Amino acid sequence: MKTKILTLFTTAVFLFAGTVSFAQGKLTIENVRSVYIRNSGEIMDGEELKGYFTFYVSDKVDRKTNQYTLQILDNNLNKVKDIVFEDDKNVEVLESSYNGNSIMFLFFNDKEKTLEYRAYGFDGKQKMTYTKELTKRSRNLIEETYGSKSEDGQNEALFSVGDRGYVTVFPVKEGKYYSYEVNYFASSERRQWSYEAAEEQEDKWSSAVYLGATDSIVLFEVVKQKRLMTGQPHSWLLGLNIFSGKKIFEMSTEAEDYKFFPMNTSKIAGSPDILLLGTYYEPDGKVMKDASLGLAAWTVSSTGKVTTKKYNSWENQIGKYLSLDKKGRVSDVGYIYFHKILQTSDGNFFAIGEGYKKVVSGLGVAANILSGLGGGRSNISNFKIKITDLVTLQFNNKFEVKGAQIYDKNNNSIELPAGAGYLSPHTMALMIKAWSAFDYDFTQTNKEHTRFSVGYHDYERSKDFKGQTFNSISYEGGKTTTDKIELSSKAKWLRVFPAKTGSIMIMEYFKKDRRLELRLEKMN
Amino acid sequence: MRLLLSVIFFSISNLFIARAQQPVSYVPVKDDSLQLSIIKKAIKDTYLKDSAAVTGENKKLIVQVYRERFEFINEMFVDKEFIYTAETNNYLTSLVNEIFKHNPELKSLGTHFIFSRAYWPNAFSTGEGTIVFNIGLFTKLDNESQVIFALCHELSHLYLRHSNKALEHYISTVFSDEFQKKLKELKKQQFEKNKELDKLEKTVTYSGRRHGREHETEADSMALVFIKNTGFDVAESLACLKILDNIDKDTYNTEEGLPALFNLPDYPFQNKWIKKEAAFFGVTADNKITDKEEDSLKTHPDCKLRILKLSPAVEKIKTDTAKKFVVDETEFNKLKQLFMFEIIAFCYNSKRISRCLYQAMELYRQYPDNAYITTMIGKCLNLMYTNQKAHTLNKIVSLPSPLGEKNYNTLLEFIQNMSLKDIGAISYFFLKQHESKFAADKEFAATFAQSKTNINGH
Repeated sequence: MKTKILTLFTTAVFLFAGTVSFAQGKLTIENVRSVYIRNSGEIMDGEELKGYFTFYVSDKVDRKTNQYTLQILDNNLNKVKDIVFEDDKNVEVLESSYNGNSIMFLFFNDKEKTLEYRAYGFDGKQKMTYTKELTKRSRNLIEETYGSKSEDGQNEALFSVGDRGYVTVFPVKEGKYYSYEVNYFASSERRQWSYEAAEEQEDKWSSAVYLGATDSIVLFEVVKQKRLMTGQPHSWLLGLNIFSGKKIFEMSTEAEDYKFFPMNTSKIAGSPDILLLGTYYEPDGKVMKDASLGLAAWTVSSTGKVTTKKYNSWENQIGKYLSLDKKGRVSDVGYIYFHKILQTSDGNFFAIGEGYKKVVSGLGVAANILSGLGGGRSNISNFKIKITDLVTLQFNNKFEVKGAQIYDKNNNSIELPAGAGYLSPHTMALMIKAWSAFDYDFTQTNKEHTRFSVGYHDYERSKDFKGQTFNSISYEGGKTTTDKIELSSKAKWLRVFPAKTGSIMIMEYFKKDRRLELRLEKMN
Repeated sequence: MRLLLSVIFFSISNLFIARAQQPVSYVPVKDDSLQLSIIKKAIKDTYLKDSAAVTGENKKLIVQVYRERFEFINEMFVDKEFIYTAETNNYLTSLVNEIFKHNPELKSLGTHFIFSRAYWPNAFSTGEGTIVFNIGLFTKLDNESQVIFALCHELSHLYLRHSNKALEHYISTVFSDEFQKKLKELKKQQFEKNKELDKLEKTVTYSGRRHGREHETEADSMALVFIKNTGFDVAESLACLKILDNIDKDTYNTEEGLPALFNLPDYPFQNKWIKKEAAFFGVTADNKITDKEEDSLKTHPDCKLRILKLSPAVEKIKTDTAKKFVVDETEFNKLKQLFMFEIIAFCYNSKRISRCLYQAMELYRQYPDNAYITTMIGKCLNLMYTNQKAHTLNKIVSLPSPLGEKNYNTLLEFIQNMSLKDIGAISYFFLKQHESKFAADKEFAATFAQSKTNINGH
């Protein structure tokens, strides 16, 4: 929308804004000034997007030091604060989190091998800082973690816990053990604790994923493996005391009935118990090899005791709504990889998945035939992966299947490297995710979980339109709606980012004008 | 910068409202395009003449600024921002003639006075002779003497060559050998380049702003000199500044207005539509700049300060015989009323739809039986519906801002909180209430039919 400048009747003075550019070799302040954007990202408060940050070098102080500016925008793209500070020239911001009374940034210094957590108050002043020195191997693990950041609009390792503080989890290498460390930082007082899993670790490899928090417990799904390359992964649920960091429980989620791999956690209204949602497998099943049996929901007490279990198998409960074969494949859709499971405030549960299947690759077969004729071997597999449709499953508050919906989209194919054609379905899904080849983009929800929107991209080849589209599936007040934006623009390039729930942020770059335009648009 | 608009009712405007509540029939003004093209040509001729007369080493730079100044005015012509009819021009000319009649030295300035349709309260002189008076300011003023103060203030800027002096000062500073040498050195500097540039910029900005504020005070004082010679009431200069001091305080309470307007029998108002977003980072303004610096960066002195500076002179020269109205009080009030409607039309035509809706809702309070305003509310909602459907809504409405005016911001949050269906339904059921009353109005009928089509899509 056009904006104008208010001056309350005055003389219009041209030139003062310094925006006029001059030829003839004359210099102006603005064309001598130089700033470099280092990175930018979303500011999350739990699952809710609260704003955006841009981190840029606003000046070079000396050979080792830069002046940086962190520009903070709210979720309506209004600039609300500039935080200016000096730091080592090698720092970058990994992520940011907001908890209602402060904002925390996680800085990474590649050269010094340090992670630094800094919280800033509303006045833009630093409230606290904590620096963690990393070993060379731990640094590599950090880089791997952020190198495969899977979903926009989701924090990777820094999470706000209510309005109290922040919790962070990152991988470390301690001696021969691959482990993890959890840190908690209070934002209203100078209090911090660390939990170093390596101190009592027996398995060679252990990794933790933040699931959520209650008023008193921080929860993680921990996957452990006896040996690095050949061991089977085992799933555990870890509960740490939010005030002290002491372990309250660490329980295996591999029960006698099934192996359960939780993906999400949720508070249960009116109960101190915790709800866990995820996929499950045969008790002797091989998670990296076998397909899951279905979706499960467990409730766990605050002391780590399982109070209820509910299983929905592909074959039976879910099969009533989707046509499945014995291997758990949905007709035309293939296997389903679940990106997100969440509960809405009306008690319903939703699982958002995407189909994929292994098919013969014409290119791979042809390449292998030609290579064989020449006496060599092609580096392309005879098989490729086809990414199929979006699938949502809906459950009631007892986690009973209420419905399933397949959202048709154009199929994408990814060629596989030689030898990869015989991987398990689960491993294939992890590969697709690591290559960012799924069409699913993000799920946005508000704090109250009264609504959510799933965003995914597609390519359309219709009579009326040919090109990229951004699609959404939205749920609010018991109703599901879908929407689509055709991403055609005069801009050199266009990207879609998460925004406040129900909206998306569109970034367009107009090369001719050297102009970057950001705008929010509501989805219908 | 966000603009604050509200109706501030003072003694005389209360009389106006009493009259204005009578049914009014508004037809959008049709501009005299021939006269507008004559004015545009005259402004262009002045620009070309001024450019040809420039000499000296900075000739090219000054000519470039003159060109940009002309392009700025030209764009306003292209955007149909100027309002020109025999009636509006005759009235404005009559006011100006009153000033010129008693201050003949101003006649040689080569002025062009013109009303702008802009809704924000402002008047400005571009420096080459054009003086623009926004109708958004006109509608906020109480009498002709206040309009005269604004006009004389702008004439003073022109008479005292403030704009051109500021331009010359800027060019002689920034493009001086010394300044350019410093910039060349900084361009090569590896470290703390921007810090040094900031310091350098402040020297130019502070000096410019200081001159700017001095110019404002000077223009206020000079305006009194011109008004003193006329029959207008010089004391109204202070009243005018007082109005300006309060001009940002909006009086239309959208939190009450929205439910009152859109709680429709067939589509009840939902409180979630005006649910406010939680404040992010507790920030209402960037307080990075200290008060001292902020004060140094202000071009315009505070209105209270201007009143304080101007009061002694006003006391000295004010007379009991001076009049608040000299030209035509009836015409003043008539135009004021017309401009209130014209602002809505301009906002709609220039695709400032959230602003248009706000203005229309505010005016609806006074004219609930006016077909134009009712239709315009429906048109805004229909256009929002179409754009929301095409995912371009935020190109025609502003986004909420913690820095914005409270009541307008509530409307912006309302727009963001409504679903596509809500927008369509509100438009349809709101217009449906007025169907029997305005059925004969073609514009209303077309807008209602459009809203019906929209709602049928759900």
